[in-house]
Amino acid sequence: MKCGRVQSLFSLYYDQEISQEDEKIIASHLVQCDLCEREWRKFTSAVCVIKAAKEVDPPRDYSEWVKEYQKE
Amino acid sequence: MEAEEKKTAGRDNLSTESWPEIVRDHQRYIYNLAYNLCHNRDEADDLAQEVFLKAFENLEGFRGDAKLRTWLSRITINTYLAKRRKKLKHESINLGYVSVPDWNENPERLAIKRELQWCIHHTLRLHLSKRHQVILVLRDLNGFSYEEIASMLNISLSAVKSRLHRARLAYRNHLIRSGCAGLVKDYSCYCEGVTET
Repeated sequence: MKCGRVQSLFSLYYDQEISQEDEKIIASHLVQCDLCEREWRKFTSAVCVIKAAKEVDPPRDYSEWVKEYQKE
Repeated sequence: MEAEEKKTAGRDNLSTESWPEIVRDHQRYIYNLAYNLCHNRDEADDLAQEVFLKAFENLEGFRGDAKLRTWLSRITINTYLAKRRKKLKHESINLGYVSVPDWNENPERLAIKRELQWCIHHTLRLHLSKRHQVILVLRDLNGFSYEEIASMLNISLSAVKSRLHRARLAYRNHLIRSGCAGLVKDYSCYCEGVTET
């Protein structure tokens, strides 16, 4: 598999949405190819940044508001 | 989260009487989805309220062939897209509202974490197309499966795959271009184990 093809599959590879065969090919390619390995690190870092977003607390209990709304 | 889903999944559990309880089960999730789309607490509050109102008024529209949470999420996205205005002006950094839970940490570390949170939302909000923003929020922040996203956005599975890939590349490219990559270069020590290599 060529570098361009490997990199085009990064997203599916990250999500484990590709065949086992392709997964093995990509894993093997990343061990051998410094360029793709660097690109893979950048890719995973970016996804990890997104996933680092913290959960926030809702400012109020909407179920109470719903009950009030239902009374109206 | 799964337990909540099971508790409220299916058409049979839905009724006017049960609605407040259902809202209670899903409000944290829907508010966070709204926040991840709006990146503003007040707008997210308005959006979440509107979603629960719309859903309540359209309970009969829920056919039970999708998870209730998926249905509510779809309403959230559609409402958000309908409401959104084009705000393209660049905003200055305001870290005051950024939520960081670990208050016991030292100030420097806390500041870095705040910046990171700001960076995440700022990039999503202002430096990606809406379609890229939405798919990243659904997949990477809210953890929907490819199939659920396809159903929610009414696009094919292959469209989900290609759009998600392009969105992640766009996000990565922005981090590199903007210098935010510098902020996250040694990221594993800022976010404590979130980095998966």
